[in-house]
Amino acid sequence: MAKYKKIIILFGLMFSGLIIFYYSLTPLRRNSAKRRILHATHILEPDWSKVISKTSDGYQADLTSSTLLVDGIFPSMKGPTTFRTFLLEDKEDEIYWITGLEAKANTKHETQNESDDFICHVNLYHSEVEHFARMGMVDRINIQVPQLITLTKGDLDFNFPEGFGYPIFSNEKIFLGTQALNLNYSNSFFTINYDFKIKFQKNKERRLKPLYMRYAVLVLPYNVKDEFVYTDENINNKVSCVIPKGNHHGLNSLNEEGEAITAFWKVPIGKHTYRSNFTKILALDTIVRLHKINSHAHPYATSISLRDITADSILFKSDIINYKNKIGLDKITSYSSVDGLELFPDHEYELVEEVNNTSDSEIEMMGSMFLYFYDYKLDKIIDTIK
Amino acid sequence: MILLRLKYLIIILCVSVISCSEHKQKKTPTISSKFQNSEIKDEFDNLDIFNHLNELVNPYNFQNKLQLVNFFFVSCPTICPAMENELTPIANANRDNDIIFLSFTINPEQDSISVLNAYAKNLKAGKNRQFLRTNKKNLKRIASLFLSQIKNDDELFYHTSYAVLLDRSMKIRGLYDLLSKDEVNLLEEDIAVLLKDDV
Repeated sequence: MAKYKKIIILFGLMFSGLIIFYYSLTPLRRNSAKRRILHATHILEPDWSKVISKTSDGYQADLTSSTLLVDGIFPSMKGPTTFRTFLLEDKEDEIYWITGLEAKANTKHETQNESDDFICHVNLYHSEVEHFARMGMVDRINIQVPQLITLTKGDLDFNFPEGFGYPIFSNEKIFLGTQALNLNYSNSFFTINYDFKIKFQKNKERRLKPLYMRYAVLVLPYNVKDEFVYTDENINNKVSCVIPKGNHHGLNSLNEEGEAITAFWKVPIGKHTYRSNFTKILALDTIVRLHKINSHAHPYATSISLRDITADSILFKSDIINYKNKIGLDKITSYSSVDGLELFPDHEYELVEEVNNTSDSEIEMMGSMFLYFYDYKLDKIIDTIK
Repeated sequence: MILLRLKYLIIILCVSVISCSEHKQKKTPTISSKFQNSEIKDEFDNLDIFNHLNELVNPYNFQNKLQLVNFFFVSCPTICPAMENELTPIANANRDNDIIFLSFTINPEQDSISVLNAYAKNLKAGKNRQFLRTNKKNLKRIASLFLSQIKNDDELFYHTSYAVLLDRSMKIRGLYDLLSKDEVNLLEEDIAVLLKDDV
């Protein structure tokens, strides 16, 4: 009897230790640990599926993600993730043109028709090293984020303008993933998975014009003191940082003035405008033509604009419509044009983000634009790439 | 006569089926052919790279084998153990195959030959594994040739979690993140495909 008592106490201690460890994790790590257990035990479907088919105007890869559990509020960037590395077609060694990406969520939740509200973001990446080494453009390796396309709720159907595409190799590694979001339903307990559609053309059937993505993100100086107090004078001067010590993604760094800058900041109650000059990131060496802009922001943002400081003009304003009766983005407008917009190497450019925090506390914010330029350098050599 | 025709027909059918199935094989890409450049070969002839047995090593001496190259350091507390967890079973499963595993330490000051030797013994590494040491200047150049990033200028040590696969003619055929199960699966597939390829 005493032996059983010892075993029960031992199990009790181990169980208590696990519970304490679990609750000591950050929400993101907690959700990640839960997802791993649910997938390893096959309580939730751990695998992805992929089917490629011919369409009336090209090809599409239909992918369905593994299943995730939504069991509480998941703020932006804190929910469980699902992610897969794959090749579009490993039995071919050809150039394909990605022309679009669509995403939708499937839930068993009572608000099924609003399933897409549970998408934080969708990221399509490629392996920069592999991609640019094969394209013979090693100078482009590791100079910016490796995303090709990012979708957020409000704009989940992404298409390049007619005749344009992003070239990849059929047997090149690409990465697709998403993160669950739940801003409104605290007593939730339901499963969710995601359907993705990657639209593409085969170069041997149709040669498109190449686009090259440059990532423009608002980065703002932040107060390095732990407790930052907003006053009327400093409110739009320095922000309060979401992750003051940065993280392994290098989200925080220093600007030319030696100030600590962040891409994730806290916004106090009320209306605020944030600006960030990204001319140096663009590093234009000639006049370029911009054909597609896809914006990314968190709830309570009301617009994000690309502004030509030199010409004092807004080149494109992405209007962001928030839901009225709940937290979340209903619509983000994007730019798509065959003719495009011209950007000049001797002009200065900035991102301007408007935020209206109508909640009763601080919120977390970011703002970025994925800018797709005509890639004149690649266009010259792509037919010679084997 | 009819039997003879039938025989030919069967042979033609068999050949067709074999060529179709070969056509459907995975096409492992060529990422870079830079090691075929004679200047780079000459460069390697002048680099002092030693293995954990204190033997002079030159990757060009393994041209008849596939090579899997990665960067690590013995005292690495984070990604190296996770990378090694994936590398060890792949290396063990390929002890009798034409593939060599080359692991460059990015911390030659701490990782002496004896430290690397002890590390190899601790892993029970087979003859198909070489733990390599050279000076910091050489390391930077070697890493860039293998399309890899390292940082070992000060107390901050950093290296990519990639393993780089070379075929028998020293072409880079793939880069695989050893921290991703998906990519480890792709690596195993590609090793199997390339081992079947004739030079």
